Amino acid sequence: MSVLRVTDLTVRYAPGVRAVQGAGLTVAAGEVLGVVGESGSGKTALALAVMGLLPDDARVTGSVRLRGRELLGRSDAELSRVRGKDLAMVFQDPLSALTPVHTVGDQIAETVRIHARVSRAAARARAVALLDLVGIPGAQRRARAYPHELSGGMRQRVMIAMAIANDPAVVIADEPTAALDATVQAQVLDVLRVAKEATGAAIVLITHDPGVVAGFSDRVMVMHAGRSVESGPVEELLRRPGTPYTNELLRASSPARESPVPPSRPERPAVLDVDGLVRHHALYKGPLRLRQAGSVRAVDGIGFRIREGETLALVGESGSGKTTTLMEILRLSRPQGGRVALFGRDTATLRASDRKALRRDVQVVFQDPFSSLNPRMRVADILAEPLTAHGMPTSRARARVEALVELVGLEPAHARRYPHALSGGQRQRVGIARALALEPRLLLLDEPVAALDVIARAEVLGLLERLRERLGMACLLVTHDIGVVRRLADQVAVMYAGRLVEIGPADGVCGDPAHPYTRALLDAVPLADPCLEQRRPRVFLRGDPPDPASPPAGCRFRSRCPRYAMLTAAEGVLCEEDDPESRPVRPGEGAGHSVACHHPLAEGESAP
Amino acid sequence: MWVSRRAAAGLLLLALLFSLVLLGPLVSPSGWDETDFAAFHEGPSARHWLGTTQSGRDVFALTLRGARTSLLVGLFVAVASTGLAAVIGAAAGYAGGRVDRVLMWGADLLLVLPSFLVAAVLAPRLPGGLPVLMAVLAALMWMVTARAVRAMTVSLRRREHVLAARFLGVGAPRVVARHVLPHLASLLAVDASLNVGVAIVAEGGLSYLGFGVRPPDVSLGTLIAEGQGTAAAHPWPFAFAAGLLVLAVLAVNLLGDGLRDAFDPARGGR
Amino acid sequence: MAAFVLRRLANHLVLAVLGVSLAYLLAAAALDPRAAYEDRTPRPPEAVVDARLTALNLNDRTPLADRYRIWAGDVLRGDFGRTWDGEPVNAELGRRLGVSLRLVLPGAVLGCAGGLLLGAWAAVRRGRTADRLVTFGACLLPAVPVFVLAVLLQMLASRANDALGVRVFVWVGESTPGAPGGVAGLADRARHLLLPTVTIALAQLGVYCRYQRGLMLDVLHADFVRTARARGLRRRSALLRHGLRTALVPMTTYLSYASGLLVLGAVFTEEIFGRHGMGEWLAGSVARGDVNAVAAIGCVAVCGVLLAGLVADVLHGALDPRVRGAA
Repeated sequence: MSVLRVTDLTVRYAPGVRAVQGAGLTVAAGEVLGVVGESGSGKTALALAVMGLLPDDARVTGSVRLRGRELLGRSDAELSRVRGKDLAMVFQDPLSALTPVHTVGDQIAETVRIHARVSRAAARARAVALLDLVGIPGAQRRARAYPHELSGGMRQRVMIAMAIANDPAVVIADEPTAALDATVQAQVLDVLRVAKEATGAAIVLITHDPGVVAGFSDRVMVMHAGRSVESGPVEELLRRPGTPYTNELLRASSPARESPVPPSRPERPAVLDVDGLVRHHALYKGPLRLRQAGSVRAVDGIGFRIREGETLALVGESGSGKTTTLMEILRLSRPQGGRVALFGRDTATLRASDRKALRRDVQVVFQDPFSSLNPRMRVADILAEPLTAHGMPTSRARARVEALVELVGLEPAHARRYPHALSGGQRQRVGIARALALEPRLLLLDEPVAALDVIARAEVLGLLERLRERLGMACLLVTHDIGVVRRLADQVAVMYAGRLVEIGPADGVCGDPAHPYTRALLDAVPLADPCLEQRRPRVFLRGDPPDPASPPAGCRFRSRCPRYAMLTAAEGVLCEEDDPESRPVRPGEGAGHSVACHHPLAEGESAP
Repeated sequence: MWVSRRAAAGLLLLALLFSLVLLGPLVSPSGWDETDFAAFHEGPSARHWLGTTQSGRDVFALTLRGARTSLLVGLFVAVASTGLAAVIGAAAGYAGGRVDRVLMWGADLLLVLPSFLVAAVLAPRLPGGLPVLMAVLAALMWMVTARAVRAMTVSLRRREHVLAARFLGVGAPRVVARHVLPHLASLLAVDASLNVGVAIVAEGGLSYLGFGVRPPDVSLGTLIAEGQGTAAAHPWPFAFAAGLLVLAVLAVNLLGDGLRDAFDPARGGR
Repeated sequence: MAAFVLRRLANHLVLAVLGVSLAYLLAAAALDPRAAYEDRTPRPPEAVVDARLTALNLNDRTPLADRYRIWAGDVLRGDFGRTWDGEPVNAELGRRLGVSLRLVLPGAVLGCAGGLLLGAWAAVRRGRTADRLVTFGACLLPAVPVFVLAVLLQMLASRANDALGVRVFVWVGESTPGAPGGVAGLADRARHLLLPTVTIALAQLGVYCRYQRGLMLDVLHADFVRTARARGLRRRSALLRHGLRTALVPMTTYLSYASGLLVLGAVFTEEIFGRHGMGEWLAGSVARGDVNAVAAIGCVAVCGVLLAGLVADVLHGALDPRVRGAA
């Protein structure tokens, strides 16, 4: 018996733009349906059409039946009795989806009171109970918090609590974890599972990541260009996709490395040498902001080395200090503490002219291809800018631009376009071409594929891999995505709260992690294979990273460490009092792999 | 570029006003500085299209002369104050640190001072007539725009394409010219056109109270003050001057609003 | 919240002292009270003028720094000195401030509230006839300067009086001379207040309406309004309960700008409706070269603008929990 049945749904915006073209789905009571599609595939429009929340200029045809009752064509007043009661929704970005000026407790209580005649006090009590159910510690206190006072994962828990407040029949979750780190994503999906069991609601989980669907849903529907491409039980569909599109999507979402990891060659000269790098941001308070009230320890003494032709990945959750590290290197000037040396030259000793000359050899690709390209310049001008800035005559620059466009796999016609006329993947190729224009010896990549869709992401990763092979430059790759690490990195450095907790060869760190945090990061990545995904043992991280302005004494990871939680009091003292230093994982086997943990995982213990 | 209907209407209105002000005196049978001793306070006639004032001057020609002054003041003051705002705001935003704090404190101080008081005290006492009046007005009108320019420059400086240019080794002047200024252009265009209206009203107000344009020069402000007393019985002098003033301000406001919509369609009023 | 207000207050105090000092120095340096004495007929002897000016701390032959020191010392004791003709400024200031406040406050409150409501209402009915009318009005009104608006209203009112044959609209002065006290007197005052209040309200209304409409349009499609609807609120209540308050937050910033406009509007309104308030006094004092009076008015204006800024900050803090911890 289906609770929600959508048939032949079409959504059209005013000038004949079709977001959804004849899509359909059915969900049975208590079932989880995963809807997978790239951005622009119409999955959000589909969700909003079901909820009746599309903007006024959208035209919807077809049929949406909830428990057999038609919803399309009903008035706002009629629909408002269904929304939030029988049909609830969890939105993607919980910061903008929660009203900033009301406390989260009030917002949940309001949801209760809209649909049920209960007293204010009873609604509040229910709100606290719901917050407790979704695993918010200190629910009584947190109910009085405003959305901006909570972390991203907490906010999404609040959204879930709100959605299940009136025991709905169906919950639609639109990319509920897209704005979150992998470790937090795993927590939130778990909460969604708890919520489902508590209410018995059917869930429509919309996502771009087949991995999220694999571990969570019973059935899957794949959307592409506004149509449902195929649907079926999750095991069947993900293992034996019936259409080429699904096949491509699945292949792209679990990228396999095309080239083998080269063995580390210590004899090669170092391109980048970072030692004890420190970057603290001062926090000012008081009238005229004169009083310094402490500092955010964004980067707190880290060191690593990249040799010629090698790629080191800097991995960690958002806020761990990865991007700050990258920016400190790019500044090419004396850091607050520690030392940065490029090609053997200490940046503290550089003069302005040296610095400009050195910029030729150190280039960067940014995360967001939308904001990293000047919207008012044509692609050809964007690519020519570094060349002319370093004194190349215009005629030669033009020829070089043509070569660059071809190098990154764009059409010559793209050079005449403005960035907004390109797709995300194409824009990122322009960003890469710009960084390669001066043939740098070191390329810094700041989350180069995080803003891209699954397929574009796989293509750009492939491009980066080939370019690195062909041009032989060294890379520093900043990412939170283990998939990218596995594909590109030779060396991996794991960052947590401004410190490096583990560093070593990629196969060592990813295959046999020694630090519990690394293990948790690896575990948090969902696999697109439902059998593996549902069977493997996983270690969840609790809570959020510590406040970087006041990290806990001793080991900074202590507050979330699953291993620390299992230690005896005597063993735990070390973690509480002593800041762990980095030391080789297996003494005697060379200094390749080191970890900063008092109780590292033994070999084999961490194998999945 | 697509220009909104409002901007087009404003532009059209402005063009009409300018052609009236520039061409009107050529076809008017009387000059603005002539006095007709045969006609005091008369209604419209063939010789005096909109009648005469109390002192026998031709209302049509006189008002166009006044409108010329007002438009001139508006344009010059708007361009000067917006230019000042662009330089100060961009300098504060791009340099940051102490420069930023000092400049913005200056702006705050000027914002707190009642600008009417400053203008009324200074304008009549400085030698130099109209140009000095315009300079005083411009010096009192840049602060709000400068704050907006500063905020935008600060956010632009952090944007990735500006960072990218800096990390590519592009020099600071070139970064400002190619990556910062073009993004400020829309804000400045909008503010400049809105400032024309503010300046016209400010000059009109000062002149109305006798602190602005001095005789023998006339502006819409002085004419409104003159015509107001007898407006009940002889509406022409007041109505024509006031009408031109309102139309001029309306035109530049429409233009400014329309430009804002066109530059920033997501935020527009439409 | 109290700590937040205190912090802002400290910030503002420095600005106030600087602003007031600057206003005095400007007036003292630029204005010429001597001219007013010398223009008298018969022309008084120079020594007499000098002595008189020195006694009033208006003598331009005393160094500016000395005059400022004397003036600042007096002001710190709460004395704004004497006017050009020897009257204490304080007494005049108190009287005129009362007149101005009675004139301006009702209009300001009316204009602000009306503008906000009208703007929000127009935004919700975006694109319909009502919205178009309001938008057009809100575009036209700010283009009409106060000194034109006031005269137009007067003309309309006298037409109406003529047509009705009764003096319904009266506006000269605060009340009819010799009017009775009590309720009838109050009614008489209200009748006199009507036209100036409408003038000030209309001048404010357009500005507020335009901003509020724009801000409301921004939240119309905000994610949190959509969330509120997804929870079962109707569109209208979602906008009222979740959109309006959020849209009011940036409005508080305009409040301090608008207060400057208000001061300016008061000058013209008082001038045209014959009220002996601060604005009329300012215009007269500047013309007479009455330094102490101008400085006192400057002081009130600076404090008024800062006070409006403080009110804006407090409102901002009250409406938006995000700023309470910061700044």
